[in-house]
Amino acid sequence: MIWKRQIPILIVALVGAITLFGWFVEEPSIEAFVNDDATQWYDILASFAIILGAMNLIKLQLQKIARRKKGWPYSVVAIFGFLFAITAGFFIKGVDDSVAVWGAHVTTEGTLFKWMFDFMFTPLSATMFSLLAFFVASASYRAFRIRNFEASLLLVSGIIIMVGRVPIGSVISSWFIMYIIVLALGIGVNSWKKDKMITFGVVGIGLAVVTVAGIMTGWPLDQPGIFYLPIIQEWIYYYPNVAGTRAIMIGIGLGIFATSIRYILGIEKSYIGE
Amino acid sequence: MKDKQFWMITGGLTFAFLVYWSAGHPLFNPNRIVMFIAIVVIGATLLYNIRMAERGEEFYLRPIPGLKAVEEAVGRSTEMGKPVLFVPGIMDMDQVETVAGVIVLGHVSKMTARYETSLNVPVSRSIVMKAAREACRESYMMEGRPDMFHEDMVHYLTDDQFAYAAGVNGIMVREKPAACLYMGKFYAESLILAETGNSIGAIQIAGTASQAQIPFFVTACDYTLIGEEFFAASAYLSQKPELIGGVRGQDMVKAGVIATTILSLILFIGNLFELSSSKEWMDLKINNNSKSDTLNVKQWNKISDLMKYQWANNTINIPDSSILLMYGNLEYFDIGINRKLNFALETGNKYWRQLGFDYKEKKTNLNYALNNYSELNNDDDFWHNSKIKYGKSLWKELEIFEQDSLLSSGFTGFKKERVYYTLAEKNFVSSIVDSNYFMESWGSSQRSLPSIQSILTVQ
Repeated sequence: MIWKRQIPILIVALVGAITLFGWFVEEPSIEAFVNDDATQWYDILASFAIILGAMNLIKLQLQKIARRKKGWPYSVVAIFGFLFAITAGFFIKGVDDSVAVWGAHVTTEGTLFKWMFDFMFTPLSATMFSLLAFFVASASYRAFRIRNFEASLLLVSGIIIMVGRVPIGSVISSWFIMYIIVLALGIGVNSWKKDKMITFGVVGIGLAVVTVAGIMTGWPLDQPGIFYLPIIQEWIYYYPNVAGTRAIMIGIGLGIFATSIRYILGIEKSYIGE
Repeated sequence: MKDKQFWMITGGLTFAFLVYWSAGHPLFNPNRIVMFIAIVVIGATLLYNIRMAERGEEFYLRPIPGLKAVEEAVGRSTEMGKPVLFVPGIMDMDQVETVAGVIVLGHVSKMTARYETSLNVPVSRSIVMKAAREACRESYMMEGRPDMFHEDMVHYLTDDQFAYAAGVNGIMVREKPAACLYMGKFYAESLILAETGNSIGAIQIAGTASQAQIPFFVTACDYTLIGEEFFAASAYLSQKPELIGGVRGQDMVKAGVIATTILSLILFIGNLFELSSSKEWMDLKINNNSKSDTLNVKQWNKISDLMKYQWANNTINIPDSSILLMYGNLEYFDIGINRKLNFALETGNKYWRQLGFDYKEKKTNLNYALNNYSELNNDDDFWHNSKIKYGKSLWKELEIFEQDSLLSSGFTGFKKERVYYTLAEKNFVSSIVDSNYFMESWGSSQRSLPSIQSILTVQ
């Protein structure tokens, strides 16, 4: 039991403490351990562990084929791809040593591996990535549906950011935005008071005030700045957005620190199943 | 650990550190002292709360809907006879989020063992596969259902991001799990996974500290654990006092951070940060403002009426001719302070209040150094510390008028090349770039001087 409990906890505590407190020590060997050695050890371990993953993948796919499970033909493709990549990586270069030696062949034009990478792997990855465009559209549609106050706020902020960041946003006059705000205010007043006279009064006065102010100042496109879309979007982007982001970041930082401390002190033992 | 042992260890460590510190703290990196103190304070707060929890004090843990919904999701899968899909992110175990994801997996697998529901955990890293397997195995053992555990419930797909996303999507579409849990570190694949899960009608719960992915999960999932909630999941699901104590400790630190932020804001609003009583600060403020005025007046007299209007009003608008005419007749000093500030931003000749705090501090310190140069000339520590703080580019940091003032004050009687030579001796300006800059500033005629040539050659 000591090998499955105490020893792993001891290793985690020791390496964690060295890594944490090594940051404050000006000693080349400790700095080298913290900055390079520890991560390299991890990389070496991970490189060996890939064999485990590969074996597991092959085993599961073979089982699927043998048992004719649902979708087994995909497993045939997976195994074929796996074997093809190994062949192209380790056995068939496709070019002479004068063009590329083993190792360099994975990035050299004309080799089988590079061909596979450029004409099979890259298009497939790009296909998956490009799905994102459609998913973003459908997700935005769901997020921007007006259901409650927060969703409405999100919709308005989203539109301001989107329009304010493109060239057309800078030619939309702040007076146009002010007129829209007056009309929106009318909607608000109407749903609050439910009185046509008051609504028309508010809208009428608002429109008149905006028009008079515009005539007096010469309708400058970007004045007053607080109604000019590029300025509003910049404000949203740099103030409320950054404030929210930083609040989340502080929480995340504390969460990471607390989790690490729990590990180093052996308080959290879930990773060994306790 | 008993109280006596705890205090003995804590006291011993504190005493050892004090001895180490009073002995001149060899090997300690003094530049990281603030971070060290922060870590000690935060660590102590966490430990204190953990101790309190272990001693039996009960802490309130805010209900987190996402974590309450985990059991609900597993229950739903059981009712529907469909599997639970758990995705622990696409990164390796060196990421705390992945570790936190595996911890949550341990709790989820306990539930699946209890409810006899099948669990599917596709992973993208081999080490995560091993860790996740161990977590699941232990959970099934603890729930008394080792017969239900099979290694292949945690299986490897691929290391590649989008290939992994394609693989998981395939599993979702074929097996149609009733619950999809995404707990770990995610990148662009987050939305691909969550939208596919949404399309098959699964109940979805996500937890991540990847800030850019949180909005995608919030949009596409039923519940999302945002940032710290994700790290509190283990405490919430296990209800272990020591873990709950840790969460409370986090909250205490957060309260401290909020208090510090508010205090800083008050100090900032009241200009209390500006050390306004410092002579260097005040002198610089006056000098800087008068320098800005001088340069801005020159600029004002050179430009067209339209530009005067646009720069002073921070606008791109073209006004009526009457307004333009008015600006044509205005002197720079006639415009109000806010218009002056707008104008200064456009010309780049900013006023003191428009400069960033770092810049102000740097200028003040440099000014202090220059005013006291005669004392500091032979103070190697000062030069060493300044070099660390400002790099080797002191000379570049100085503006031309400061270089002049340096020559006329601190270096009275020194030739220009001697100033540079002195700075070079102190290893303050020692790169070719600095030398070239110096040459540009002081004119090419200096190139013939042997001392400068020798410096350049050496460098």
